[in-house]
Amino acid sequence: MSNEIDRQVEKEAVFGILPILKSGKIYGFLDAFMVLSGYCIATWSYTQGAYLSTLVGFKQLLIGAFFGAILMLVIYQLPVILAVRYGIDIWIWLRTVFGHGGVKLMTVIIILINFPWYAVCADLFASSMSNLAALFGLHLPQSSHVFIAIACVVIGTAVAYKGIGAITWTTRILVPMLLAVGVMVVIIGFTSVPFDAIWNYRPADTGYSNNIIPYIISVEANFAFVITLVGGMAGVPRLAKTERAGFWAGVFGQGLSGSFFVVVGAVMAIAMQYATGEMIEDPTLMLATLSVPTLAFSSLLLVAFANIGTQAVGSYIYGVMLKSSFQKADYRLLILILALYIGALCVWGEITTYFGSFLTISACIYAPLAALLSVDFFLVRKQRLSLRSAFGQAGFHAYDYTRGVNWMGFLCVAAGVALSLLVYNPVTGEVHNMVLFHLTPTGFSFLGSGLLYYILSRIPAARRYLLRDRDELTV
Amino acid sequence: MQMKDRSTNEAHLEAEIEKRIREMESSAYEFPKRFGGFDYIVVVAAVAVCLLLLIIGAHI
Repeated sequence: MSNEIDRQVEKEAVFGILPILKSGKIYGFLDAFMVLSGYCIATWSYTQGAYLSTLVGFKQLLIGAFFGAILMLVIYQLPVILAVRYGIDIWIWLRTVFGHGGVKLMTVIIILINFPWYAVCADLFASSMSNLAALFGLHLPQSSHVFIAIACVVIGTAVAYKGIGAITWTTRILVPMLLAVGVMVVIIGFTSVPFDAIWNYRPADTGYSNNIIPYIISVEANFAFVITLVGGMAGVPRLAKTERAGFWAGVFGQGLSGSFFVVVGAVMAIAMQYATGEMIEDPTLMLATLSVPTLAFSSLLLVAFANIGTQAVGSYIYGVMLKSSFQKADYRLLILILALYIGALCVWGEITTYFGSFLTISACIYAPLAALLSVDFFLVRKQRLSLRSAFGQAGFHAYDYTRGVNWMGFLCVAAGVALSLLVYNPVTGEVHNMVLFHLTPTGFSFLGSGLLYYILSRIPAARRYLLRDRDELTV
Repeated sequence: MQMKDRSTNEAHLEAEIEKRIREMESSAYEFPKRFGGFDYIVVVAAVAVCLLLLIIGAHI
């Protein structure tokens, strides 16, 4: 049984990278939009919304959540047209930027910085369970929080352990459940407190005397929130019938649907503060406090399954991603290692306290990754690559670089990290350079690392190093 | 058995990749409709509108 699941996963990891030809393109704009909308919905959106509401008023929050997200998406998602055109994932193209071995290293880095999202889910699951127990008269000790969070990780991992069959059923149930919770929260949020209380909401104290700083931090949080999706941005567009459909489905799937749930989280937090004096992003507690108590039990099922389902899907996706890079490793061992990592974060217990810091720190890597992809695709390689070298076909070595690693790519990523930290300290919240801060740390890192990569590509020796593939271009 | 499966998979994969690349190289292959000039204009307009709204948001 375990060998069979490993074979299924290996088949997916290995054959999942095949270029999708025109006959395999199944999504128009609407289909791709619906699927991508489903991917973006998770309970961590509520945490993002609640975090934003500590920084800015509701009107500014609406502008940042929608237009800040769409601005960043429209820029960094442009290279997704390569996924539609050639039917490949961006990680195949990124072999031109990082080399075959370098992409494996980057995969591990991405997983390390992305997986804390699942600790956020586990934390929300634990809070929800504790709050619900309290509503039914059972007061759990604070020490139980970490065990309940770990239970979410264990159950999610157990589902992922079962492989693609269990994951398929999970996603079929997960998205409608998350939508149901979102709709309930919106209705209850706007009907249980006066509309003006939400519309005219402003945070009492952001901790900054200059109001522009929390506004820029909120825009930064929106940029960072959407750019974390860069790693998986091409999975669905690969299957789109036109480049226009693949691109705009990603922009609006995340920029509208994803942002809607962030705003839902903010509505919930603001409504709870109005009603109870405390800003809470837990949908279970909100539904129990602001609506009829019987709704609390149904919300238990929805939120519990949503968080466990998100854990399961995340474990599976990243388990497969690791399997494609490290083919000899056993899939089940890989997801156990991932579970241990999230478990350690749950034990640490501070992921939601440092949520804003986590967003910017992860964006430190994602922003240069997205920038290098854009510059490489549009300016360096002029939208053409050697598919045979990218896939490592025998006899084609244009992207082998230096023992499998293009150090120029990693230099630019390191520079991007430094540029972000030069402007702003995400842990202490200290602004180092107010002028550059107006671009946001993620924006400045994106622009700076992209510019550096372009400048390096114009140096003749570096250009020859990067463009060994020009004689192999056939499409 | 697992090693044999893996090397069989790899051989099948390489063959299938080559087959699909050849199909894309053929003059008869029709690539998906490309992002055109109009699409890029819409992207630039979207960037401009979003930037403008973000700047307005700073003054609310």
